[in-house]
Amino acid sequence: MNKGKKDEWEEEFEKWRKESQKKAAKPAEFHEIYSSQIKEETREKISGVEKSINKKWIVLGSIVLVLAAVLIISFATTPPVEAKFKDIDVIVKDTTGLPGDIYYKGTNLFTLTGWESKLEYDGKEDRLFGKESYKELVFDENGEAYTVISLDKEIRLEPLTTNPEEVTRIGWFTDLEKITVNEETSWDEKKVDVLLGSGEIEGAGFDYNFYKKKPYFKIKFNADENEKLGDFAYGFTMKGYDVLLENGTWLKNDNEVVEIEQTPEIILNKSGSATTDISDELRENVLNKINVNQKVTTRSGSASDVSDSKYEIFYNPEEEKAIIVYSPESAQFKNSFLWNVFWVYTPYDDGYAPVYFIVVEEPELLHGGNDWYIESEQYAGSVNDYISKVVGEIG
Amino acid sequence: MRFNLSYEERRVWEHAKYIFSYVFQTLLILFLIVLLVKEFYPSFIDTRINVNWFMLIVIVFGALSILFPVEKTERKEEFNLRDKLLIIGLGVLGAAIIFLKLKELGWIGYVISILGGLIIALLSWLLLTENDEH
Repeated sequence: MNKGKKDEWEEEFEKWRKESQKKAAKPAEFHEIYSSQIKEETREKISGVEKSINKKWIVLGSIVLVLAAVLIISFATTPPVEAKFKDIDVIVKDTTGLPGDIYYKGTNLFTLTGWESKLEYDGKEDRLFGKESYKELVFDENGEAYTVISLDKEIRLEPLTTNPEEVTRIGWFTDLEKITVNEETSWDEKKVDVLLGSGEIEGAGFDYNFYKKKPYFKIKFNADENEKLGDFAYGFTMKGYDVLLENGTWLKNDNEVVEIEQTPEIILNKSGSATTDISDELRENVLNKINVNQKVTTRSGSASDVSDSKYEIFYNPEEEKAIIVYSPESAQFKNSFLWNVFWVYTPYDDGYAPVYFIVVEEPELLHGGNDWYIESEQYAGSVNDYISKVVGEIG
Repeated sequence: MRFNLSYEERRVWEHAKYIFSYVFQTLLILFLIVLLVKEFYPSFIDTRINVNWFMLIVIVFGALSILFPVEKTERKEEFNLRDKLLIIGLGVLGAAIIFLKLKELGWIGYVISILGGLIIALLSWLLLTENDEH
């Protein structure tokens, strides 16, 4: 009986095992049957979307977005470098001294400044655009006040004789906030007008005129009619240039600046005599006031006044560049290689005459018959003829 | 995160993904051309375009095209003659550009430009054959 029961159980177990195996096999079977079907359906779905991709919309959308990006980059953002008018341009800065940096083909050529320009008014000559400053004061052990001036080689002390609260004013114009710069650019010309604001001298300012792709420009100083107005000197700084005069004289630029590791000497200028013998307290007060750890600069260079030349040629042998400077009414040229500053003086005659600047690249300069001759890709001929041609063109 | 999109939405989204990809490729090529021109004529580019902003826009579209890549059915392409010519062309162009920048160095300029050209060609070849080996 027991044996019969055992067989019955084994039979039941075998049946259950087979059913379980059958059930376990079903998902794999299901997977085998349906996976390829699902894959096919998914592929069809994807390819259905792919097939419905309209290339026209993609190309159109891409073009619109690329154009939008390019327009944003071109117009909504500021380029890192300001574009210059070709070939010559000016960037006038409303900073101390009113510098007008002249650029030729993107590089700085020289600087016309209000600080170096000089105007005669009511019989007195002063810088056109200067500055206002208060005196630096130091005191000695007795409470006596001294003014301090820091120079290239020394620090000069002088007993205070004027009201220290009184402002020291240099130049006919000093207020930077009153400066207005107006630019007007057309297809072939650029005008830059600089107005210095109102004051004792009305309507004072510079007019710059540049011409598209031309190597020359002119600058004119203006002021409202006033009988007190005298000579005006256009002043500009130009480093590394020799000066060639109309009569053939070649003035070599002998500017030399040497910096020496040496503390400037403190000199007391009292009652017309200079001395270095000053008290320790006064010396300490000076050292606290002024940074004396600067290098001492020694500077040398010749100067010249020229009144019999219609023009001057500034020639830079390193850059092989010449700049012809001419004014129809120029009374005098002054050259200072000491400071690399040059002036063109023009008299007042119901207004001031403009000054023309003509840049010549890689010129060969020859002299003969009280005139210079230029051989270059840009121009070949006498300088006087070139000036007449340019003045005839731009007026 | 997955979104259940309708067929129409999915269709629009697929279009957008293609647009991101093409805009990125176009802007990247333009950006590289601008950089190349800037190497030789810096003032020409610096007075017209702010390259930093350009780069920012390229990065934005680059990120979009990487985050949302285009789903493509696999298409196996053979490495053909056109690819070989492209590799040679890129190598020669690269060598010429390097030479223009380094010609002042003398003989070392020639060596560097030849090696540079070879590296460009080799990298291009590796890049184009990479998919086939996968």
